[in-house]
Amino acid sequence: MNLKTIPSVLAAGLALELGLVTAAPFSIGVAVTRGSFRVDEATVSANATLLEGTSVETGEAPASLLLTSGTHLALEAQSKGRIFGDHLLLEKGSGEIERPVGYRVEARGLTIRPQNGIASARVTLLGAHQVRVAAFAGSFRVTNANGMAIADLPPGAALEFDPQAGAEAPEPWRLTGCVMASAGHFLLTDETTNLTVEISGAGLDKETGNRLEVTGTRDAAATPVSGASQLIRVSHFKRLSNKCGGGKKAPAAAAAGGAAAGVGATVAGISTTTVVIVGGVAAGAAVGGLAAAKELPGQGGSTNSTSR
Amino acid sequence: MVRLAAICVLLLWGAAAALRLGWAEFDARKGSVTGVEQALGLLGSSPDASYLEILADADPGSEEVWIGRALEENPRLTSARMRLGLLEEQQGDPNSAERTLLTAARYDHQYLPAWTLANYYFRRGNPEGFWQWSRIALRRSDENARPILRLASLLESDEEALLNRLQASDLVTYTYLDFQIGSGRLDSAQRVARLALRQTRIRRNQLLDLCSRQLRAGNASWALELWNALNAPLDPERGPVLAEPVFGATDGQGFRVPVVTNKGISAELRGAEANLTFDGSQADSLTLLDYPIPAPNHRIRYRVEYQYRTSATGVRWSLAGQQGPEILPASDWRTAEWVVAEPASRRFSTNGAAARTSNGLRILSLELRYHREPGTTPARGELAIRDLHVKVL
Repeated sequence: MNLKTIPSVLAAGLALELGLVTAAPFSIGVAVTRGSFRVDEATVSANATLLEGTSVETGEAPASLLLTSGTHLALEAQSKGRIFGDHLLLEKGSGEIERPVGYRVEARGLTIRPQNGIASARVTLLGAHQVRVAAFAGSFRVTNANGMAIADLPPGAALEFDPQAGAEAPEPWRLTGCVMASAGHFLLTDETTNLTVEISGAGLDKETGNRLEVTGTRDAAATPVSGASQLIRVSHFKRLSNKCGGGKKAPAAAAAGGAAAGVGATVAGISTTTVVIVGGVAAGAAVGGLAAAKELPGQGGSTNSTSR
Repeated sequence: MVRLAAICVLLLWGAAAALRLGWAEFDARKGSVTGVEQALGLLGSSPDASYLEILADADPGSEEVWIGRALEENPRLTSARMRLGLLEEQQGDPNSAERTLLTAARYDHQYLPAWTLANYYFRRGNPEGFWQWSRIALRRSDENARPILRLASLLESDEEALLNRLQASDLVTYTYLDFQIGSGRLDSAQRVARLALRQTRIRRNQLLDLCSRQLRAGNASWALELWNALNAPLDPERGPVLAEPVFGATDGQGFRVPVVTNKGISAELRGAEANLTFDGSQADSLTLLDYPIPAPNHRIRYRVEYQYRTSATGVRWSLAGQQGPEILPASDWRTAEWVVAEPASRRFSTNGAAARTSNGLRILSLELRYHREPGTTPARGELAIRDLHVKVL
């Protein structure tokens, strides 16, 4: 053995001593459950190694998925998802994500991504089309299948989305919020999705400081002003109140695609009083808000969630 | 009387205890912190360690605390110890994780601790540890080998070496076969099938299922290899090329003929003879029988020999995509033959059911077809066929 190999031998020994033996290149983590679950279509008891693209389907008990990246996922009972190193593809039921550094959840064409590392959220598939996203901690951005931002959830917010509701009529956008002026441009932050867009159109200059419901189409070719995600060409608007601030006014019921209007109307399966159409996706505040998002079928009356 | 009263008291006490235990179980299984605390309250000062484990699920923020308490109550609670080991692994303490999991395996000689250790060593990039504990797990229970095979197949691509490393039982070998089939690896499945054929217990149905899959995939030589290992051999060069009994099988596996199930036609298959009855409501064009025949690439002439009698019309044989003459009505048994000369250009065709090539061997389709010519009435009556042979010329 010559002098050059000694350092590498020492380094290898040190690595072994510190338990830094290279992990199997295939493994991305481990799944743990009480009882059994299905992993890549085979029934497995107690725990299983996660590989890239592993399918996990829970039965009566939830499963905890611990990824080598440090991200923690939870699949609720009667849920199913496909696990990747950088995202969870939720296929059934409900999944929770915690410490999702660089991690995202995909569900029915939507992508839910944390805005910072200290975050946790639950994503639930409802019915045949809807997706509910509840942000417990940190903020999350929701984008549609085209990568377009459709909502920014602050901590404590819960929204329901229907990606198909806007499919037949991907336009127009329908938003509600206060109009702010900024360096000759007009901005509106939608009250439901918390998304800030630039709006342009006739008469908006007189509406600064007013609360409007606007309808319009996205100008894909335009670059919105800084701080706005899109530029919306407003085709028409309705003034809801002359003054912004002091909380939301009684929200007007809205409908998409010709469904019935009225307070409390159910639109595209989303039971809420206000529905907006953003990027081809109908979105509304989840009925019951965050508390509703925490309750799961089969849990008797506890307000504790499985989040850490 | 006193004795009777004592018995009644005992029974009542037992019933109350059972009710309390059942209610506690109900509370605990709600999976909530409140539920489990209610359960623990009912049970008094000696909580079942498994309830504490449920609490770890319900309150994951304090999972390690609850697991620790569960192990204090019952150090041999393997499920809790395995969870602790996995937690330690996740927390970046692999040495503690390994010690904890090995302790669990020492206490509990069943499948799960061994399975958990096999997974642990797989994740740690320790193949020898994986193989060792996989063998142990499979010795304890080989009924669900698939999860182990899922990982093993990533470490070892040689099928025989993999089975040797696992010291695989017959059951594990056939599970491996299913696993490779399910993964779409028919080439690997074929190699596993060869290993399975060396064993004392042969699972015919599983191997014939693979034979059928190989046929459908066009892997003629592999299909024939499996068929000949399990049945009277077919010989593409010298014959026979029809699986015997020609009209006897009903399972449709491999080179056997499936039962005709078309609407309007009933079939009776009796070994060397078949009887088909047409009621007139059948479709205008359909395949009555379809025999896969192994044939060498270089063969281009065949003779189809058979006896028949029929009152139905519109029926004819087809081989390698070529149609024979119509089988004409005859009330008495007739002997017939049809020589088929396949055009050379067709030999390597993979068009439809005409031919499927594999390693110098093809699969030809000998079909008995019904077709109603426009302007004619649907066939009614019977067709009987017997002594069917296909000679390779």
